[in-house]
This record gives sequence, structure tokens and C-alpha cells, in this order.
Amino acid sequence: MNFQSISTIAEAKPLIIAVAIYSTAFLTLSLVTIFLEKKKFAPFMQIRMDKLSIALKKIISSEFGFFENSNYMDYIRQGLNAFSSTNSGLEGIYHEVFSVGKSVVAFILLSIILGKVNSLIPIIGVVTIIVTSLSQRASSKYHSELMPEYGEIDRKLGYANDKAGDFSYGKDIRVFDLKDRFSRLVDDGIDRLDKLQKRLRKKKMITSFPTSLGFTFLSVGIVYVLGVNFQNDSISIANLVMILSIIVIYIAQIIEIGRVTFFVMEQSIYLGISFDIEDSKTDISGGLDIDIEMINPEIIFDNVSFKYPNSDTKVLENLSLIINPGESVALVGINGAGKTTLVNLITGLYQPTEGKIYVGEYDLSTLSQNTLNELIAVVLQEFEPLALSVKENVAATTGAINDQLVTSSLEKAGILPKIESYDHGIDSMMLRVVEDEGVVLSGGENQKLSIARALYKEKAKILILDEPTSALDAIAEEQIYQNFESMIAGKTGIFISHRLASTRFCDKILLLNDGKIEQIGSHAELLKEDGHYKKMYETQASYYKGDKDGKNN
Amino acid sequence: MEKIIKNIRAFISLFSIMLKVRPLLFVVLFFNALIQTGNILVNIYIPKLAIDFLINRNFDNFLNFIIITFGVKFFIHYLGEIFSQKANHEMSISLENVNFELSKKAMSMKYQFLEDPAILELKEASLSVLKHGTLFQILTSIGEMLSSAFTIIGIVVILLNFSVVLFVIVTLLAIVGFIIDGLVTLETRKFMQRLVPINRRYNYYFSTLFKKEGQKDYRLYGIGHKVIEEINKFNIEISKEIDQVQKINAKGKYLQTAFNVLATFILYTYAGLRVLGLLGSAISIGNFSVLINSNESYANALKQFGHAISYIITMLPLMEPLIDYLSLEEIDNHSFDLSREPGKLRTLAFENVSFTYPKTDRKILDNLSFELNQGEILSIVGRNNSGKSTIVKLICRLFEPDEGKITWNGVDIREFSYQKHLKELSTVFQDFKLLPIRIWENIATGYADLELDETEKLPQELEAKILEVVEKVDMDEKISKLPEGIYTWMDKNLNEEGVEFSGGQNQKLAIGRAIFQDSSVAILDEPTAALDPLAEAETYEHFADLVKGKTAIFISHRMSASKFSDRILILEDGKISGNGSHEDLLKTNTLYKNLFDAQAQYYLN
Repeated sequence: MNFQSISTIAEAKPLIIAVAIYSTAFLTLSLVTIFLEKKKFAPFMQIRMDKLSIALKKIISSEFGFFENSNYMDYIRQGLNAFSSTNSGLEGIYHEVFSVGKSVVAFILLSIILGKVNSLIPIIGVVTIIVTSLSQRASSKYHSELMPEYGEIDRKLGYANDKAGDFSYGKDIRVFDLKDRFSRLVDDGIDRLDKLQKRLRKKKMITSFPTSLGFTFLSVGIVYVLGVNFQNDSISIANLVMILSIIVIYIAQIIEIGRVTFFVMEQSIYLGISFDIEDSKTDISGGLDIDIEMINPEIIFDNVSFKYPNSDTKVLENLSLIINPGESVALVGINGAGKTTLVNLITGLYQPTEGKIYVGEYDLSTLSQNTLNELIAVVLQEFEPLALSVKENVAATTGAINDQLVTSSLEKAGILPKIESYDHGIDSMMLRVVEDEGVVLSGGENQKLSIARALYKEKAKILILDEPTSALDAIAEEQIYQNFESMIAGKTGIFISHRLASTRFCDKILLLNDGKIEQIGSHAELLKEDGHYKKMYETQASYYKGDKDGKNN
Repeated sequence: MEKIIKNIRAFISLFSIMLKVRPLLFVVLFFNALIQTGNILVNIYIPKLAIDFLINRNFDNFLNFIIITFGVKFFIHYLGEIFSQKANHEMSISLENVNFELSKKAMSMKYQFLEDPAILELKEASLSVLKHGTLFQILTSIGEMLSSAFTIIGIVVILLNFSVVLFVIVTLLAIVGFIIDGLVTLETRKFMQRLVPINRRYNYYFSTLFKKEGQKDYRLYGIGHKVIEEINKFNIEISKEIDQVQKINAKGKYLQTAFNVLATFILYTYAGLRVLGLLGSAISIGNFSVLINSNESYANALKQFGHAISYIITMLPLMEPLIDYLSLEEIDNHSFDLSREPGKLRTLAFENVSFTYPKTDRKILDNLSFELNQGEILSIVGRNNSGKSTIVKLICRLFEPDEGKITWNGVDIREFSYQKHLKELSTVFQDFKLLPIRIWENIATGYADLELDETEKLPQELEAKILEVVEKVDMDEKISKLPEGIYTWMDKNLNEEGVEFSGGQNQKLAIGRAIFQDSSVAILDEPTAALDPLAEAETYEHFADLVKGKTAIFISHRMSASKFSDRILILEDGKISGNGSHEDLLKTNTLYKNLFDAQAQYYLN
């Protein structure tokens, strides 16, 4: 490639200058675009995260009952998609719309240039956009028609697969040889999903037909138009080559605009849901904030009836009851008698279907969740700590943590030595999710931690214990009981237990049956009555009466 | 070097996993790649052909050319659409199958793994690769690697046809671009890699917030807000990293753009000069357009190839948990004499059995020996974590003793066929589980091959047998009230008409399942979950039913053991500290007396 002469250089000069001008212009524009894209990233992300935080708060303060409904949960999860990623949802739309501006400008400019050559070309371009977006809409419409079915299949498949892979099913699956039976369940699910996707694909084959036709028509049509123009000598070779090279770029803009439009349409579905969630009136975060020192911890049920949402059976029926301040009450009854429901109502997780509940002079439903949280300490039947430090789990607050109180609570719950055996004591991280060496406790130890958590709320005026010792052996249980009396001192206490003997430190025993209070009185009084309490007590007592003919009673 | 071999090995393992779950996937990816390449080549050649036709003023055949081009272009575009949809479909089904493979592994691996927290973590890490789309991205990258490789090959052929010099120029330019791109990608990947653990934590807190089990907690304590606080914290951390990535990206893009412009400048000038005939032999305008277009596609394909490879390489280490998990050892059915049947029990004996859970230091059973004779009912009593449930697991061969042996009629149980051994045991575990399948399927576990349609009924004889069991555990009334009876699903999540029984009712069915098994030994590990006193009493009654005429082991967590056992074993520190009747033990065994008194004091006065 040796240069032949000076004259060739002179001939080449215009070409080189032209290419250089083009290159410089391209470079400048590109650099500006990159700069702007970089700058807009952080602010867009910030908007999304603020939204997410609001939505999450909304969710954990929504009425408890919603979580019983798996469809509603699916819905919420979908809604949150709008805020949970940089590439999709709200932020995705921002980014895409920002950068599609380039394509729109390019499309318009190219349309003008091409239109000057032949006014048919931009018309073909616009028609292509319309045809392809119509067919894409048709396919996405079909897609969204299938969405509920798809969601259901997907959810069920996920559920079956989760269960099949769940280690806690491992023993039964092996011992009863259930692997094949269980596998079939997942297999069927995959099969259904496969079939549904095939259906969707068939439909898409139809809708992509016009899309493909449109693009082919556009790219080949322009060539044809140019050919005819060229034949009529109404276009120069230079323009011909230019336009033929531009076609690819022109089509790329159309595809890009179509893609973003489709993306925005698709993501708006999630965005719509998230706005629904934000506007929903399902929240329990409202209500009065009252200094709990002002509240007299007397609990009054005034003709309370209750049905769980989506259920016709009344779990509680016309229940009236007064628990005096400072009094401790044991709730007993067979499973399903309504004990836990009663607790759910007192803690404000559910609202009565009929009737009212008062704490002191306040209607419970008017108090804020914060006030209730301060007022009531609950030890739940099952408690799983979260991957936070021990003290954060115990204090369960976003505010400052009183280390001393944490330590003394752990001590009273009988788990302090165990916690102190870890390197970081109460600062040790729990679970192995966040820290590989995290603290993992047994079921019984978790139960003790849960008790410590209730103890940490030392100012609480109402204490509720729901089967707090079911995972403990008799001796450990006894040790906990010895602390209960001091724990409950001065507070209104509600205690649920199946170990009837453990209700002894309560002032009053309530026996619930079929949503009604059947018996009420002290242990001694109830034993004199010929009711369920006596029957239950004697059943348990029989295990401890030396004779062995218990088999036949 | 070692790293490369490791990567290659991981890639091969992954490839063979995918090949196993969905062989069709790679076929589809291959053809899809071919078609996408075809589409690119067609786009390169259409302008050239058109220019050639027109400049040669070959107008007669121009219409024919247009029609043929239209056909070819449409065909390849449409085929491309169909195949890319097919590829997506294959991909999503493949991923479901990998997920299924993980579950199958959980059901068939050696049981000891299930109690190993490290294995659980391995499973979680494997699942997260699926959930966060890493595997999907890797598969997509494999597809892109294929299609860009095809495109590169195609264009190399075109360029070589023109001239070797041209090929060298274009390739050099493309390679420099490729290197710049690679450097930027590596730099950003480093950041993205840092995000992996952060993301894992973020996802934990995020999904925690939605767990049904936690909802009461979030409302009754401030812990939910604490979790949101963590989520926000991680979000800020993630966004800082992403912002960094954006900055690096932008720097890279400045550099890339500048280079691209330079490359374009060189190429356009060169091609232009060639057309003008100023630099070597003249080329046609048509070929000029091929050159410009293929350069663009060539650079893109190289870039894409680089992206795909570097993505695969950086993400392969994340696949290791999945590969390791799927290669965990399974229960080996072949090492046993499959024909050897244990037969009806005469004596079951623990002979100097010691056992330590893997990865722990404490001998949970220490040189333990005891015997159980036909027709005898034995209770085992002890404090929490004393090893009571471990005994059940050893008998069921979920674990093997470290030392000593367990014998059945004098023969080491390890010598029997696993399935046949289990058929001789009716076990109700402490934390028993019923499956989300139909009631009858949960009871008649031996009939796994039997599959019924929605409307089909069981053979009458089998149905009668199941109903008999249901009656024995007092569930007949409850179940007969269900519209579908024993054909009802036991989980609302899989079937809206499903039924959700209470803990006590589930336990009755679990006992029913054990009764149905009709074996010679019954084992009940008493549940610790809260049963009310009457339900508890019923459990004992049903267990008495279950053990009628059988040999039985009863693991008691409360002091109800004395109720129907012939003999009680006291387990303390992995050893037997007492063995005898209730009355004897009250006199001779301190632990037994303490355990008993702790509860009895409130019932006896």
C-alpha cells in the first residue's frame, strides 16, 4: 500500500476531511451522552429506594389477616417488583425512557433525511412501528390473559418443589419411601408449565408473523423504492449508498423504540399494583399514640364475636369478659377452642367482627400499633430469631438498646450462660445467613430467647404467654415457671398452656370451648365443677398416679 | 493455570448437568445461534447486492432480486423469532428441571447430609443461583457465545475473500477494541462480585419480611422495622457500589468511544481510498458497503463473545455450590443384599453403640447397649438433647453407628435391604411431616405407583383398608364430612379445595400412616408440639392401638411414659442410667424422680 504520488494525496484530502468531520461530530455527541447517562443514575436509584422503603413499611403494618391469603401475597410481591431492581420497575422505566430519547431523535432525523429522498420511506417506517406494536400488544394481551393461570401454575410448582427439597421432610420421605410420589407432583407441575408455555409460543408464532413481515417489508421495501428512484435517475449513487447503509440504523431505532414502549407497558403493570398497595387502606399504623403510663391495664371484652376473614364459622361468639388490672388469667381449652384467637384480638392483630374490646377506658381499635406494642409483651408459641445480633433480637427495636436490660432479661429466661459462651456475647450475630459463624440455637433455647424478649419490655403492662414451654423438658420447664411469678408481678397476665398444672400461679382460670367461656374460677373451684376442666385435669393427672391401668380409662 | 483447569472442570460439570436435565436445550441454542448469524450475514449482503444490481443497471432482474430477498429475509427473520422464543422456553423449562433436580437430591442423598448445616447452606446457595437468574444468565451467555462465534467465523471468511491485509487491519482494530472492553468488563465485574454477598444478605432480609411465620412478630414487636432498617442499609450499600460501577463504566465508555471513532476513521478512510482506487486495486461500491457493515458486526460479535466468556468465567465459581450439591452421595441401594429380609422381629438389640453427630464433638450415644424383645413395650426417657430421638434415627438407618452395631434377630441391620428393613418399622417421628398430597396417598404410602385421575377411585379393597385405618385413629367422622373424603388434598396451596388439619389431627393421620404399614415394630417419638390434654390422651390411645400385638418403642418427652410401657430406659449423657419399671426407677433413679416430680407435684396433692 504505497502512496503513488503527491496528486493522490491531494485527491484523497476531501475524503479524509469528510471522514474526520464526521468522526469528530460523532465523538462529541457520544461523550456528552455518556456523561449524562452517568449523572442521572444515582438520582433515579434514590427515588426508587425511597419508594421501596415506604412500601415495605406499608406491608408490615398492613392488617395481619392479609398474610393468610396467598393470592394477596403474590400480588404484593409483584407490586414490590416495581421497586426492587435497578433494571426493572420504576427505575428501569426511568433509565429506559431517558435513553430511548436518543432513538426517538435519531428516528425523527433519519425520517426527515429519508423523506427528502422519497416521502414513502418514513411512511413505511411509521406503518412498521404501528404494525409491530399492534402485534406485540396482541401477544402481550394474550400473555396477560394467561397470567393468572401462569401465576397459579408457577406458584404451585414452586411450592411443591420447595417442599420436595425441604430437609425437614427428609425423614418421612425416606422411611415411608415417598420420593416417587412426591417427585410426580413436581413433574406434573413442570409438565403443566411446559404445556402452557407451548400454548403461549404458538400464539406468539402467529403474532410474530406480522412483525417479521413488517421488518422485512421495511428493509426490502426501501431497497425497492431506491431502485426505482435510481432507475429514474432521481437519486445519485452517493445517496443510494448512504441510504442503503442507513437502513440498518433506521430499523435499529424502530426496534429500540418498540422495545422500550413494550417494556414500559409491561413494567407499568407492576407499578400499578405498587401504587394500589400504597393507596390501600389496609393499614393498622394509624390510631392514637398514648403514654402507656396513662393506661389502666384492665381488659374488657364486650359481646365480642369473631370470624376469620374468608370463613363462615364464628370462632368466638358473644364473648364478654373482664380481666382486672394486675390479675393473671390462664386460658385453657382444647385446640381450636379459640384461645389463640383471643390473643390475636387483644394484641390488635385482628379486629372483632362484632362487639368491642377495651383496655382501661380506651377502645382497643383506636390505639396505635406502637402503643399496643409498648403496652403488651407477648411470648409466642413458635419463635424463630432473625439474622441480627442476639441483643437486637431481644430488644427488637430500631431505637437504642439497653445492654444491661438485655443481659438481665436473658438471665431471667435462663439462657444467659449459653449466650455468654459465644465470643461476642450478646453482640453475637444469630443464624448463619449473614455471618458464617452465627449462633444457631435449639428449639427450646429459641423459646427462652422469646421469653427474654418479652422480659425486655419491662414497662409493658400486659404480658401474654402462649405455650411458652412446649419445647422444653420437665426440668427446664419448671425452672422457667419459677421465674414466671416474678415476671408477671404487677402486670395483667394471660397465660395459655396445656400443662394444666402450670396454670397454678394464675388468679383465675378461663375454660374456653367452642368460642365461649364455659367455666371460670380458680383451680380449686373448677375442680369441684363437673366440667371439661376437671376432665382435662384428671386425664393429665392419671399419668402421675402410680397405677398402670391408665390404659383403660 | 490451576484456576483455568478448575473453571473448565466446573464448566464441564455444569454442561453435563444441563445435558442430563434437558438435552434438547443445547440443540435449540445451537440452531438459534446459527439463525441469528444468518440474519446478520443477510443484512450485510442485501445492500451490496442491491448496489451491484443498480450500478450495473441490471434493472430487468431487479424485481426478481427484490422478491427473492424479501423471501429470504422474511424466512430468516421469522425463523429467528421462532427459535429465540423456543430457546427461551427451553431455558425456562431447563431451569425448572434443575430446581427439580435439587429437590430430588434432597430426597435421595444420604440422610446425614440433611442434618448438616453446611449442606443446608449449600442448598440455599444453589437455590439462590436459580432465583437470582445467575444460571439463566450463564445459559444465555453460552447461547451468545455460540452466535457470536458463528458470526465471527462468517465475517472472517468474507474479509479473507477481500484481502488478507484488510483482514489483518480489521482484526487488529477489533482486537484492541475487544481488549479495552475486556478491561472495563473485568473492572466492573470486580465490583459486581463484591455485590454478591451483599445481595445475598439483602435478599435474606427482604424475603424474611414476607415470611408468613414472622408476621405476628413484626406487628407485636419492633423487629419488622429493624429488618426494614437493614434492608435500607444494604440498599444504600448496593447503590454506592452500583454508582461506582457506573463511574467505571462511563470511563470505559469514554475510552471505547474514542477508540471506536479512531477505528471508524481509519477504516472509512482506507475503504474510501480503495474505492477511489488510490490504495491498491479498486473495490466496488457494493463491496465498500459490505466492508463497512461487516466491520461493525465483526466488532460487535467480538465484543459480545468477550462479554459472554468473561461473564461465564466470573460466574462459574458461583455455580460450584450447585455442582457440589448435585454430586453429594446418595443412599446406595446396591451395597445391601437386596434379597435379605429382616423377617418378623424376635429381638432388637443395641450392642455397644456409640454415635457422634458429624461435625460435633459430643458423643450423643456412648457405648449404649440394650435389648428389646418381641411383644415388649419400651419407653425411653431423658432430658432434651439426651439422644432419645437419635436412637430412632439409628434404628431407621438414617444414620449409622460410629461404633458397635444394631442387630435384628441377631443380624446387623445394615445387612438387610434398606426398603425391606423399613417396611418392618412403623415410625412416627417427633417432627413428623405429612405431604401436600391427597389424604389416601399420605396413608397408603406403599402404593407410590398408583396414580389416580381427579375422578378415579381406588380399588375397593384398598379403599376399605384405608378407611379402616382412618376409623382406628378417629378421623373417620372428620374425613367423611369432606366432599372428597380420603381423596381430598391435604394442602390448600396446591389445591384450593384442600383441607388443613390441626396439629392433633395431623398426628392422628401420621399414626394412621404407621398403622397402615403393618410392620412388626412400632416407634413413636412423642411430638413436642402443643397438643391439648385430650388430644394428647387420644394420641396415647391410638398409639396403644398401633402397638397392639407389636413390639414398640416409645420416646417420651413428658412424663406420660409410665402409662403403657413394660419397661423404661433412662438416658443420661449418652448412657443408660436406669432400666426398669416405673416404680423401681422412682426409687433408684434421681433423674427420673426429678423429671417426674417436676410435673407430678401439681397433680398428686
